[in-house]
Amino acid sequence: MAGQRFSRRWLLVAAGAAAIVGVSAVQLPAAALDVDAEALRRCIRAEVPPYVGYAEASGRLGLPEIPQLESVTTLLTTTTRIRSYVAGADRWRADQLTGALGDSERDTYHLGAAEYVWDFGGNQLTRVLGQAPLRLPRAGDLLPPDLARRMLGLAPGDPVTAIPARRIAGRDAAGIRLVPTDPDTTVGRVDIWADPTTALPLRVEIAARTGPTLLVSELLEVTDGPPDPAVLRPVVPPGAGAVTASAADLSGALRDLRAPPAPARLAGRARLTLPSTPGSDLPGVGVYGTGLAGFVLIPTGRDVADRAVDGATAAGGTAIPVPFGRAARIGTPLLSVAVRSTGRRGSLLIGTVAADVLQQALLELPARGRPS
Amino acid sequence: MIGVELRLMLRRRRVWLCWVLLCAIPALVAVLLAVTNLAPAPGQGGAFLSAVTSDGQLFPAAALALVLPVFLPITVALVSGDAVAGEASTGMLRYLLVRPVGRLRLLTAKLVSVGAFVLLAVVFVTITSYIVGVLLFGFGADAAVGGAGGITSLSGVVLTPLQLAGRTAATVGYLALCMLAIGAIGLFFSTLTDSPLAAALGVLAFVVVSAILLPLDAAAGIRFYLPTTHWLAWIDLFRDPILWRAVREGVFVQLGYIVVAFGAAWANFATKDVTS
Amino acid sequence: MTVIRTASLTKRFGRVTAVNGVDLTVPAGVRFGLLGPNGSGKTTLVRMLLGLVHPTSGSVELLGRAMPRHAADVLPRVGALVENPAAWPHLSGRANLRLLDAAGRGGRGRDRKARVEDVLARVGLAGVDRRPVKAYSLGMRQRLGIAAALLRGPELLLLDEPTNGLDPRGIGEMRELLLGLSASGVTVVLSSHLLSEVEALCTRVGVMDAGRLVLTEDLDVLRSPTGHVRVRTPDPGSVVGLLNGQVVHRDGDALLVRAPDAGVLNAQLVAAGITVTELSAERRSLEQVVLELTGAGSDRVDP
Repeated sequence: MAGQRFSRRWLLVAAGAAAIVGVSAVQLPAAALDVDAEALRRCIRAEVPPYVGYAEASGRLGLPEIPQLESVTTLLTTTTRIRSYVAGADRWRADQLTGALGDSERDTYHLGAAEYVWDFGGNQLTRVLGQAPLRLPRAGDLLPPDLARRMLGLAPGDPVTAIPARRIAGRDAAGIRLVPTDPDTTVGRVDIWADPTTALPLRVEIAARTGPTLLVSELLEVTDGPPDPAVLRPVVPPGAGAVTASAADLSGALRDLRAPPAPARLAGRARLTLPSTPGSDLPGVGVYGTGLAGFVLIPTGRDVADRAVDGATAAGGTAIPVPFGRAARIGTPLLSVAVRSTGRRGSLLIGTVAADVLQQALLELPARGRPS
Repeated sequence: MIGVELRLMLRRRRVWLCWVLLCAIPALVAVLLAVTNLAPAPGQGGAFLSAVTSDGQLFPAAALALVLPVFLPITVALVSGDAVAGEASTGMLRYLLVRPVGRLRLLTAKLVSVGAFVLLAVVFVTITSYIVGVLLFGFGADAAVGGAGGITSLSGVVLTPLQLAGRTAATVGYLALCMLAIGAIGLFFSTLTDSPLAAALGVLAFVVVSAILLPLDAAAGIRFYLPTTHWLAWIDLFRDPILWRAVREGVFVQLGYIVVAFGAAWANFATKDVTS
Repeated sequence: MTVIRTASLTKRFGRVTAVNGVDLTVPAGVRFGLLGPNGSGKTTLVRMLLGLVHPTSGSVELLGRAMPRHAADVLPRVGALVENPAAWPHLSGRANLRLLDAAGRGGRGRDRKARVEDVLARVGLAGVDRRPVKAYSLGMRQRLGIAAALLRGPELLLLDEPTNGLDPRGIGEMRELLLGLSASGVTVVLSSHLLSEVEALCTRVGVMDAGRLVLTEDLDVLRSPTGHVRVRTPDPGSVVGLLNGQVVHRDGDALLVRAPDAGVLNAQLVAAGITVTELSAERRSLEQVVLELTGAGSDRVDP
């Protein structure tokens, strides 16, 4: 009798635990949506629907630490929490909720031509003037709508197919899959799920040609409609700094390196012409290739290149034999990196192409090592 | 019985020692910070610690972040592990049960007293660290002369003193809930053994395992269900607008732990043979 | 009316059978002594009576209600001292009793102070100060434990080793207290190792051995004459000669004689001119009874 009661109580507790786990874990199946994949792609590319949302982006690219690019490698190798307030294509705010403990925040306000960055850790609001033709990826780029638009824009001619709908942020999202046709790219597929009525992308998955999904970004909470105008107003709290920086500062730093101009062709790919505003050209920087099969050449200082070579070697990369200095490459399924350090400066190549292509490009770089 | 439990707890020297210790640790950190004026870089040290030197009113948040990962769970483990096992080891358990006090009523009273302990612990830390913080670091740059000013939220927006009080109260409530979940687990362990120390060590082992699993990618699937995952969610209360998602999930998980652990404690204790 | 009735009560802890098929009946108003060697199951039986330990099989009825189902109704009418007294060590004895009183239902809070003072006085702790219990002597703790058992004015007192740690004067006081309670209608059940205590206090005894209740009997019956008479005489040879065949044992000048009536025997010896220095009808001692019925306790380990 006692034994029976005993087991009945435990059954009750087990049922309660299962119910609690069930409530949190069960995903409602999405209703089958009948959408035209091609039309949905057009809508996604064409429209910037206003919304307020919270997204988490997880990258598992397995990149080594690259000095001065920590912010990028962090984005691509960890989970990033992003809050976004989007009123339109040129009026938005994206908050990167950062810090080892999540106790910091880096908010980017994009208001027309002006851009502001609030950094809680630095206790400072930076007004960024001008627009650089090329900038490093930042948290806002990982928001599903931005990521989806960028990926679709890079491969406008590649075919898309419909994939099963998914339940995301409490709504049924229609799915499309982009499979790049370019044989050079490492990108195997891009899956996008979007709200069929507003064409707001809610989830993006990027995978290499083989293997698991390496980058997932999903809006976990979405509210349609523009945000409260008050949240789009950057403030300088008392005691905090307010500084103005020019987007051209970066090009100034690059100019100090006195890097040689980027070659017109590397590894058989032509250098793209970057839109340039006066004073903000990026000497020595080159973008090569088209669509999803592209890579970028960035000149660096010697110590940065040295440490990057060390980092790449330590992370399982391979050394590349070069006449002067040292060089190494590391290939992850999605992103490849090659780095060279010669006498006084270095070069860094990053792209969504096979590591072999980057090695070839690296070897084609003018090997002006130590002055002979 | 609840009143009896609370009176028993308040008369225990160990409980007061825990509270004093919890309040002393942040105070020590504050004194060291004030003397050396070496604030840790953002993202290092404890949460909010880098911002404390410019505004003492942020110190309660920093103090809670300091005691949260180790000291608060230790004291909760000690007190909750003692709940039933302590009575068993002194022999009072059998006299309470033949008094008679219903077994479910005894467990409920124990959970309530553990809840009172954690709530008072968090409240005491908050109050003492506010006083210490303001004394050592002063009010922020925008403080009205001789009065409390607002503080800067993580998003840069200034919080009014009223908002700050509200959010601090929400933080206190949230952390008390997190610790009560640990306390409920301690109560369950306490019904499994007659040794208060074994129960407390069991709770600590649970917390440590949870903390070890937290950063593992392989544990990503169960991460949501680990209690320690949600311990830092209260930081989102200091953003503007408040990001409720993590706090909401945290409250759900912690309530789940309380319900399941208390249920398990009841299932085990209701028909347990009291042989101590 | 019976205050305790158990039916084939059995408790197994794993492979050990602590209590085995016990049918115990204790009528109201008696002073019942539970005897048996260590590990014979006395404490487990008491714990089952109080609902602390759940029986593997069999049933318990306390004051006419089934236990442990009706514990909430029955236990307020029972006072108990189980194994040894316990208290919250950091509080004074008075505070302990007040909190214990407040912990359960029943009894108005307003009367609590008077109730506590009353039981403290009855166990001889009326003048106790604010020292915490951890500073108490063994005897004081024992008195406090009995006070706690008396707190609710019980109809049934279940006392395990109530005189443990008390000095002879304390033992006497306790005996007086229990006799007084018994006289006022309280049923007293106590277990003790001190057979003399049980012999002096109880009207009925139960003997347990290896989990079984091997005997339940009134003390008077146990102690009825055995039919033998002890005779001491300076002239034992004449006695043996006179009562040929009736003498069962001879040890110097002490003789054990089979005789139904000591008075008749005395008259017979005196008539024969034999000097008798001592003559008494033999009664069995409780110790003898218990030792005959029980094996070695569980604390003795023989190869």
